[in-house]
Amino acid sequence: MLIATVKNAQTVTALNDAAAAAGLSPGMTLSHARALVPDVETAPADPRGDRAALEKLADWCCRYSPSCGVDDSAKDCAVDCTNGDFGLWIDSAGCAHLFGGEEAMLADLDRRLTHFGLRHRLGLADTLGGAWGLARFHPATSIVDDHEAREALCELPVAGLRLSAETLTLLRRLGLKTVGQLAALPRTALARRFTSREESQAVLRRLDQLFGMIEEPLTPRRPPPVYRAEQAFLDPLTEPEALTQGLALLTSDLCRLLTRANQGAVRLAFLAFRVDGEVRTLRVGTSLPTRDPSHIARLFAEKLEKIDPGFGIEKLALHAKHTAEIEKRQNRLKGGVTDITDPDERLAQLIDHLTARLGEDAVTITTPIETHLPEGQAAPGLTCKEPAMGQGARTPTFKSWGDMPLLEGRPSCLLLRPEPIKALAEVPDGPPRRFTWRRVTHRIVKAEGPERIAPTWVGTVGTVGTADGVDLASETRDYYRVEDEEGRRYWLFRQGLYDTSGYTGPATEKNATAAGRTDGVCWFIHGVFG
Amino acid sequence: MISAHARRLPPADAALRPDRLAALRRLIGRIEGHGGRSGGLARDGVRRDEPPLIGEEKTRPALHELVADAYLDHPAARDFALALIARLMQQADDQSMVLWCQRRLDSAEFGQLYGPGLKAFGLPPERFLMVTGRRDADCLWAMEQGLASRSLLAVVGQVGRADLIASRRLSLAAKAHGTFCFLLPIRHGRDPSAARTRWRIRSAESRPDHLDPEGLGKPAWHLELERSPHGQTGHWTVEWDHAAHHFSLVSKAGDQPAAAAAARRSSPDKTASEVIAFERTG
Repeated sequence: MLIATVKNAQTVTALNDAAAAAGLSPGMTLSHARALVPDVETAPADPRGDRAALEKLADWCCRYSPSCGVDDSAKDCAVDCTNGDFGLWIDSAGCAHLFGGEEAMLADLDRRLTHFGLRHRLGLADTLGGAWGLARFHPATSIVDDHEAREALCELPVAGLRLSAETLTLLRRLGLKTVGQLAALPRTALARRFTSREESQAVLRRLDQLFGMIEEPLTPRRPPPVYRAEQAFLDPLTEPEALTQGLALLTSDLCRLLTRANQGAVRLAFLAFRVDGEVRTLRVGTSLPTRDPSHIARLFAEKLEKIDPGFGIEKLALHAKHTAEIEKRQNRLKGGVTDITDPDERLAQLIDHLTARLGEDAVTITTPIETHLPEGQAAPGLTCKEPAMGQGARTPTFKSWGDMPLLEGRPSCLLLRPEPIKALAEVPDGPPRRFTWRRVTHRIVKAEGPERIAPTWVGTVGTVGTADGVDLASETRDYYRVEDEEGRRYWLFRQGLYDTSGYTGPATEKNATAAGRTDGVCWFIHGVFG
Repeated sequence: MISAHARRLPPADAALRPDRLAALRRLIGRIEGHGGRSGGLARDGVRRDEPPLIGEEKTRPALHELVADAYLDHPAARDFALALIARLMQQADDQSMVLWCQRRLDSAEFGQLYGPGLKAFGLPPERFLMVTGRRDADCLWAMEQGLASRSLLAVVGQVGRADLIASRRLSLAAKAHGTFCFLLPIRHGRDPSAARTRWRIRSAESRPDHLDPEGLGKPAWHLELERSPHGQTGHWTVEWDHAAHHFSLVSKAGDQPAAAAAARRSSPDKTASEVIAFERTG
């Protein structure tokens, strides 16, 4: 028996057969139930867990049809979906024959759900409303064909119409018990019997939906992609080699589809349906639209070992989630095998291959950012052509590195964050004479600077952060290029200014004490020249 | 094996005959896979006093190992690699990219490639494809993939270390696919390497700029060629002009005595390993 707190009272939300046989019912308070059956076992209800399990099952249902989902159409009806009566729908149009007809498909579904240990009821009809009513109120698993559809649906009780509790009470008072009785009434007469216009409209709408007079839109949980290849297996696959072969089969199928439509895949997903109902998904992205079967297979091959076949995989699917048009190009024949001549395409394949194994954030091309802070001027740009997500639009970006003004005296590598150093320098703005970094002291023989970089006015572009408790974005920096006795060159900066008046300002004071310095400034190293 | 060879060896005076020496060189050349050209460097038109690879002549794609002399010379080795890439970009007319592989761990030491800095170096930052791997194996794999793709100008790897097998694989891939490969090992021990050349790089004091005597001059490096296909070794000090993409020789091999260099290396603040002596004659 599951318990949830409803209106400050612990209430029974769901119960098993034994509890129901003992006279308990959903909606009772816990104290009431305990009074009736003192030794009843209870557990807290977990609506989110239930929902997650339901969605997982909906994913699994995709093995029957690409269009399926969790049924939320009866949210406000008397049979409350949230209280243990969950529904899933599968749009089996055009799919049933793959499983040997509608009866065979339902029998298969029934067998598998029983195998999972799930109590279920199935119904199949031309409309969602019909299937909903049949599954819940028809005595046996039932399929309603066209010619007998109306009769079968008319036998359903009015509760099978997905109506609210108040409406059902009213209908009961009117003596209308079945859908057939309700449908037989003239529509205008029916409308007059309800207290409000909305209520009568709701009844008529549900009635129309049941008989397919008006459309009821369905939102699939995963919209099926236009380009996909699927393969079901009689014997579940357990060997990794079989997975590789299955993948090869699917990639060639998918690429044939893509070639016919002159499209190339940008985002791909590989789905493995396991016999125990789990769905394992691998995703890859490509930097250029591709329809090269061997390339796609190689991208997935890097990750294929992550799929645990478990007790076996009964179905594989390859979906092209995003596609883009690619222009036709001639491949050169070289020794009987096609060879890609375009270096751009080879580069794209290389990038895909690297990202597939090392991760998307591991392969980057630096992009220029319009700011004065040196650490914000370059950001790692991802190489995958992701559809723009709107994020990152706030950072002003140069179109190309050519637009960025040339800044002399920058090191070719920048430290990940400025590191504090101990420096000895002339006051107020002389270059350091010596400094200690990573416990090595360097005596400086040549120096250039200062190059003053003021803090940004509003906010900070990019992540600047702090080093050693010093806020790096708040103060003026003076950069120096220095060379030590060995000829090594460093890029140092002084954070804050020496103030001759003695007052150094609150920010400087705070930073200075944070870095353990009292003269109001701190020194950092930001890069090493070659 | 050794005794069998020893028995077949001709008398010592015959072994030193120039034609026999040339024949042996050709054989070694064929084994090492660069055609087995006979003769010394002078016959190739390369001057003895000019280091290979950075001279004006077009070099063929191969694996080159750039080793920092000490921990703090890693930026020098890196910038030397960048200078070589700048030269390659100047020679090649297409816009092919450079793959730069780095361990994530090593980027904490001297940082990651920095766009404005590359620009200041005279290099287009958008032509650098950065790859960060967690382990050496990731970087070496990425380098090999990069070489095999035949779409890149050069492949650079800042790795912890590359053993003989790894460097042999890279070397073969670089030759087979015609892409330059530069290996910058962080831990430079006495690992045998299959690289075509091995350089040991150390920062050099810059010569004062005649316009700004107080300031820094052009970047300069001491280069020590430890290994090369024709057995040429030597020391050079070169200066890099990033505007003209040009190396200029500050001092020739003879200018800096080896003893002085050895003394510098053995000074206490350095952690350099000993230079391996190559007993080869040009």
